[in-house]
Amino acid sequence: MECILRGLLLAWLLLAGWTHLYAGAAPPLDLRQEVRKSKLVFRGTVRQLGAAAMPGVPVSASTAVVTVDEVISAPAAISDLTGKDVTVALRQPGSARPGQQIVFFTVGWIYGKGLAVREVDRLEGRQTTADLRAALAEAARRNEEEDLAERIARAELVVVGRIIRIAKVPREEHRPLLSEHDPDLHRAFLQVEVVLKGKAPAGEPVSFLFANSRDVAWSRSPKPKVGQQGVWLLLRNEVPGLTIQDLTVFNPRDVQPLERAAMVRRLTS
Amino acid sequence: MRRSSSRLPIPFVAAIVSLAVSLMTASVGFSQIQVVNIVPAWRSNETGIDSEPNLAVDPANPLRMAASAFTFDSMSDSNAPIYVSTDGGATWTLNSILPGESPDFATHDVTLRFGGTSGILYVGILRGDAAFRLNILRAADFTAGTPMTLLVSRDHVDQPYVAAATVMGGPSAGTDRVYIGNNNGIGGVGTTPMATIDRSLDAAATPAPGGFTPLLLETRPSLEGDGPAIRPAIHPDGTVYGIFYRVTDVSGLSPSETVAAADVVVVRSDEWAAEATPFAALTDPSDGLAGRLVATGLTVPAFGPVLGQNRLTASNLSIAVDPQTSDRVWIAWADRVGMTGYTLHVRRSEHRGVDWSPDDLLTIDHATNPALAVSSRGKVGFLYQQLTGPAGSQRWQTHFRRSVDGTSWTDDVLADTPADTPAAENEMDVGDYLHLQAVGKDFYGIFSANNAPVLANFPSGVTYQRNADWTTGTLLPDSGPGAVDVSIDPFFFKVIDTAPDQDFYVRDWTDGTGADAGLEPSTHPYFFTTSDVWNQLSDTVPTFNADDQPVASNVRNGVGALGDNFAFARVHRKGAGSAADVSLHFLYANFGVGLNYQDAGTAVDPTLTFPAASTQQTLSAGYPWHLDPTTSEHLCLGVEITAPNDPFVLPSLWGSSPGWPYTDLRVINDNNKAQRNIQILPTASALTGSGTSAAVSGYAIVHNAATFPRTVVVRYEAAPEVVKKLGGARVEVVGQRARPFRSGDTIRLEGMQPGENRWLRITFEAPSGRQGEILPVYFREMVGNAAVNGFALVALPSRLEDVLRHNLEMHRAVFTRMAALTGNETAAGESRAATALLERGEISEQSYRDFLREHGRPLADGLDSARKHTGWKASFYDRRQARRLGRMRNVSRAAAAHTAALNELDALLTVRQLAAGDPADILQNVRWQRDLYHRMGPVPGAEVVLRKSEEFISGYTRRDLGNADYSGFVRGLLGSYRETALALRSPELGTAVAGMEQRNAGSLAALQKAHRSFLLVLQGLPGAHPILP
Repeated sequence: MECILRGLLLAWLLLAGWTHLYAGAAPPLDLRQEVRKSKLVFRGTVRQLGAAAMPGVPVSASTAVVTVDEVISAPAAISDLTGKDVTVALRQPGSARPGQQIVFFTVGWIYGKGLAVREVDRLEGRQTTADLRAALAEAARRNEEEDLAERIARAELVVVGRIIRIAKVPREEHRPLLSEHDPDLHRAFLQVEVVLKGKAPAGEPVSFLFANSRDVAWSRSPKPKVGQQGVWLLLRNEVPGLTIQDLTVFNPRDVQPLERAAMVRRLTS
Repeated sequence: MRRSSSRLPIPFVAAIVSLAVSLMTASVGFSQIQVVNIVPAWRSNETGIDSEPNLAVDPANPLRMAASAFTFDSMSDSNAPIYVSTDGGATWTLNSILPGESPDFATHDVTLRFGGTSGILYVGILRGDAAFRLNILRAADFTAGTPMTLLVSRDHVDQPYVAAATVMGGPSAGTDRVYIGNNNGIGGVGTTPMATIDRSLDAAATPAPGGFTPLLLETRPSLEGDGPAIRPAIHPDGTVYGIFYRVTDVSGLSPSETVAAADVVVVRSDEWAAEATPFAALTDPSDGLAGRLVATGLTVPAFGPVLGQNRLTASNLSIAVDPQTSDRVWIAWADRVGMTGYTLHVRRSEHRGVDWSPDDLLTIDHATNPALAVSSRGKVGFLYQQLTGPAGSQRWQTHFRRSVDGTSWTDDVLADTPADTPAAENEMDVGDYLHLQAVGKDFYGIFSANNAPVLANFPSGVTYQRNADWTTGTLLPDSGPGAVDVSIDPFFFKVIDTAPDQDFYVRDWTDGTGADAGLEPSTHPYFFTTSDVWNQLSDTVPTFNADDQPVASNVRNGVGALGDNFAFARVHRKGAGSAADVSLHFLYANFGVGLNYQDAGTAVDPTLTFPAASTQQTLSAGYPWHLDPTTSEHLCLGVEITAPNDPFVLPSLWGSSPGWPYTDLRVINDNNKAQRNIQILPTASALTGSGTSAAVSGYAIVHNAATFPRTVVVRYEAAPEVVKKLGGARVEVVGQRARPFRSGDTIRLEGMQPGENRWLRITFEAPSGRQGEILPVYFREMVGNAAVNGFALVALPSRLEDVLRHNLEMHRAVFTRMAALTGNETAAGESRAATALLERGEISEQSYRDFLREHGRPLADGLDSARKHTGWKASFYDRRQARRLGRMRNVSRAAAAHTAALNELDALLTVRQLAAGDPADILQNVRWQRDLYHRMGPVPGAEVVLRKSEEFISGYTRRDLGNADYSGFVRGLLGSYRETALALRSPELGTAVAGMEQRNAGSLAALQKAHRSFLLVLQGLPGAHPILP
């Protein structure tokens, strides 16, 4: 019965847009902030204080060996840590006792034979793993939407369209930088299908610059292809260090799949 | 002082190189190679392209290392990681302590270096959350896992490359000097990227921005700018080199061709880049502008062409300076020879970058990522990656080559891995650069390669931390079943050039906190006070104090057994292993700076036998050496050790002095050499009861060991508490006005001729320290920014009885010496009187007072007599005071005055003795002669003199010749000397030749003096006068 009631409460909270969790007498956790700050969330049992689970970690009064009871949220590349001992750098020395079970919100600290993490925050209540996962997923979704909305707000033009042509920016137009990190600027031409924000010239393609370089500085930057369809967020250059004034697509969020068009439209309005 | 290549004659360098080669060839092939994949086990799932690695090894503790690569951290909110090892590279962790990581863009271009002795890590990065934004970072403890301190943030910067060193001597001793090459101005409005070095003169202690200032290297007008690679290299003497590509034409940078025309430019600073116009010391003869154009008109592939899967980006430059001499510098660059491919070129300059080997010393085709480093033994290491095999089955071979002469090279293949897999979507499967560092004799480096766990891919062996199945050649995940795709990983490697069980050293220092671990260069600025070479007056088993320092005795002169001394040394090696023998050679020099060493004793050199399990051996029986009655007891003791695979670095100290004939750091750089140069002055402490004090003086010689006239600079320093206790201390060049002792001041001895001696005197009130407290005052000879030599005068507050005994022993020694030198019977009587009192056992205050009453007058007479011969004026200790010695009611005061008088008399006797010539300067004379004739060019007699001089120097350095051959050497050149005198129409020179002829049958000292007189005259003639640096 208790479980059902808590589930109903959580559902109501999520529907109401609440993403705060209470941990006893402690101030409520803003899960959206926690999702931004932490990368690994797990429920663990404190085994030993002032110790480390692997060599190479500077041991102090703040370090604790913690057994991972359940992983609640983790980056995809990480194997299941359940049952393993990790080292946690506690936010406050003496803030845990052996045998205590805590939900740790953490970021990576030291990686060697094992893992050491830094505590960002914690929950000491009795939330179920399923509840937490759902709440965290919802917080992550809202964060992503917020980030996209913020990007849309800065965009000069947001359109649905298809890439019809790509050309290297000629040297006369933009002198390449004498650097391995030169973005290798290319210009993409968009056939605009729907304008979601801003004004596009009627009947003419819209162009923007993107970094065709596969250099480490630009490897995660979008690389449009001819024929690619999507939602395009075109911003006047905002990348510090580059002095171009054109519309650009540099950020991975600046290209959204077509199926997000409705969401983008909503966020635009 | 600015250095000039004119100071370093080419034949001399050639001789040294040749000798070094002959001695080191035997060991050039040895290597103990360790290769480690540094990806930690916990990251076994990762499949990234972790290329473009960099490495920093802490020179003060080579167990501590930091490394970087294109390694990202999905577990961090905003930080990027570095690799950390604290066990010499055997195991590694990954610590996320670099700022600037963003979910969208990665922090990159990470290079790292430690300060020379500070242990502080300096890092340059380009942030991921902005384009071309440089961050300069600092971490006092890079292992703590806390984010590094941000010092500098600046936009429009490319490829920061860090170099760092700690100043070992002089006014800035202990400060970290950091130099970060970078291409400044990239992408800016109206700016052109220009080669720049961000410099900090005190990066450890200065708050953000850490004292960093961008210094422009480029001096030529340029429309195109410079290439992204700007590499600095530092020598401990304050020389800083830089190298960069100056791009002259980018018209080829079209999508189809993508090549640039470029020159390779080398710049140099002689003053830590602290001059008003830094990096202007090296100009090009073509236009007189700063920056030597070493290679011009190169075709450099840039930003398009690939070698294998790796792009070519005009980033392939390296520069390394020889720790033994900043005159010798090595460079490597890459260009395109012909229409395709990529070629590495290695060249060397022996003259501070002024001129270069005309042809490549090494040329490697189809290769990239050159990295150079030079070991403490002058051995150059060259790391690069070469693409081999036909298309479709190409491989990256990572080579590490070594050479002592640039001609013969060893070649160790560290990795031979597939170059076609994995697909490197960013065209960076090995990266734009890698890194090589020398620490002492050993080399440390890092490269990136395919990480398939296949032993055949690593001919020098390898260990992995990440999980792998070597049987199936499969990478395994961090837990559970399955396999992980092959990717690119960074590989650390270490090449032990001398096996630890064959790497022997004599500690330069030991103190309560630790001891020299054989590091080269030594990490302690005072390498001449607590070293593991010492003297004892008896051949008894050595003892060590609570700080593990040997208990040493001052040397003693005298007739027969009284002048017998025993030299001792303690030798360590870096690891146990096989049994080995080490031979020890002891030398001594007069007390001061610049004094040339001579052999101590004539007995066969002792040998220390190391059993297999032993890492430390001490001579149990001292090496006997005798100080005849004419010798001062104020001396410096040195030792050079030789093991079968670990000889000391030539040249020997024999016949020369640390720092000369060129600005070496011979003892600091070579752990097979050690010296002890310390004079202890026991003083009656205030605690002995009297409460009053008196002035005590110590003396030291400053000798110009160079082969040209110069200003010798001596810097002196003492801890503030020592200065306070040495009340009213003052220092003076004898004959000049005394000045108050202020720690950090320098004395300039202007216009000193080669072989000339001048004297320093330091005077202080008997200190108020507690008994046994050591109060050292350090003096160091500075050449430019380098402390090349030094000594310590140590006040030692002592029990009154010990002071009285010390004074009586000194009374005996000084008058023994005076008697031997002058035949003065009164002096002999003084010696006997002091001996008689010493032999009575306990010295009471009354007996000492009685002694002074009786012998104060002879002491005053002795001083007067000695002063007449030297021209020294009466010091504060005058005849009247000497006569009053015995009437002083305060024995402590009387003892201090007695010490001062005896020290002065001893110094006066040395002045007189050296004025008659000094066999220790024979080799210096011959070097000086060689350099003078070399400068004069083809005058009659020169050819023979030059040839014979080179033969003598070479033979002397090899110990095939010695002082006994000097007379014959001079005699054999008399005819040539006469030819020279005749041709130059110099009667004075003719007279000087006659002087040599006359004294050729006399003592070595007299002949050396006559020879020096000849050289002085010759030096003053037109054409022979040196260009003063």
